[in-house]
Amino acid sequence: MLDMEKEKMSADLKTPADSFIFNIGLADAIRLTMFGTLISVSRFVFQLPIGMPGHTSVYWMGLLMLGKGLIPKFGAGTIMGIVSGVLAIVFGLGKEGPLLAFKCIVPGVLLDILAILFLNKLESIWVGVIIGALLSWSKLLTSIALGVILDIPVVFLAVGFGYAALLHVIFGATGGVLAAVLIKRLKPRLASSWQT
Amino acid sequence: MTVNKRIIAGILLLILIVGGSYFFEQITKAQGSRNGRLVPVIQHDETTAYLDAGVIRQLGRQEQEMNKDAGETGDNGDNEVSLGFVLGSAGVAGYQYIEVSGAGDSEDIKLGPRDIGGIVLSSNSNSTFAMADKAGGNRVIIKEVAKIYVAD
Repeated sequence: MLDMEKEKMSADLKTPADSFIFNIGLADAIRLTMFGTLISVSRFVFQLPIGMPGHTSVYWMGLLMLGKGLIPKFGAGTIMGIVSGVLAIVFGLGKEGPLLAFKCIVPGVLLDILAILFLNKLESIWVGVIIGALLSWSKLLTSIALGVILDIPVVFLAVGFGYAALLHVIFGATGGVLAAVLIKRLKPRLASSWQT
Repeated sequence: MTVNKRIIAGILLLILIVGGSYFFEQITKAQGSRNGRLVPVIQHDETTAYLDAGVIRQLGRQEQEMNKDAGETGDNGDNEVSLGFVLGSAGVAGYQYIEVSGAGDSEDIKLGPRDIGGIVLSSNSNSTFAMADKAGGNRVIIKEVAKIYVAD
């Protein structure tokens, strides 16, 4: 009995955090945190004064999909979303206050679901286009929902919605394509070293 | 279902999303214009600005602050703003007359640059706004404004 307990303890020590959160190991959780941080920092640093709604989706959705593509585990998108959401609040990005976190968490959760629907083939260009565009659009939709929660009249939120949706889809798809290319190149190289 | 079929379904979904977004915008704008919740300011057959009760309240506060800074008292109420200030904020200048339409069957009102002096817009409780003549004893001219047309 004592031997069995000792064996179990030594096995636990070998893999101390194989299932840290959502069945994701500690090492992967830290990598995902890094991607979440990159998302927020990139939004902060690369915000361009071009007056085009959704242009941040190129690197936002690109990094989100890259993280999920390199760590293809359920919950990866959600972790990146939560981390980037919390950091976005800390950095004071956006005008929604603490509700801003939802704008980051919703695309992350949706990514986890869409990755399953597309059989985790995030290295495919077309899958990248579709998932990137849908994530970007979900971000826009969350902004509209937050506007409704904040008591902004729907008619005002709807002005320019079609144009904004089109741009979000285009920029999101661009980010998705970039992510797909990077996943295809990086995944074989990282496969051996990133195993937990 | 194979990945290719899922990709085709995904692309169709994207087309539907973009088309649906434009459709939603048009429907909501048309509904908003009809019930006076979204009021377009039209000049040269193009919408130069959209107004709603919230914008009117916000502009009212700005006008009061500007009056305070300029040392003027200003006799507008809390939810009121002068029509001249609204037009100026919308970038409308050098016009011949403006034509204000009301929601429903109310008549259109034509106002020249000299007539708008005592005219104010005040927000209603139902997210619409009214037009009143401050100089004429605060008489409500249009209960729910639906459209402002600017003629050069």
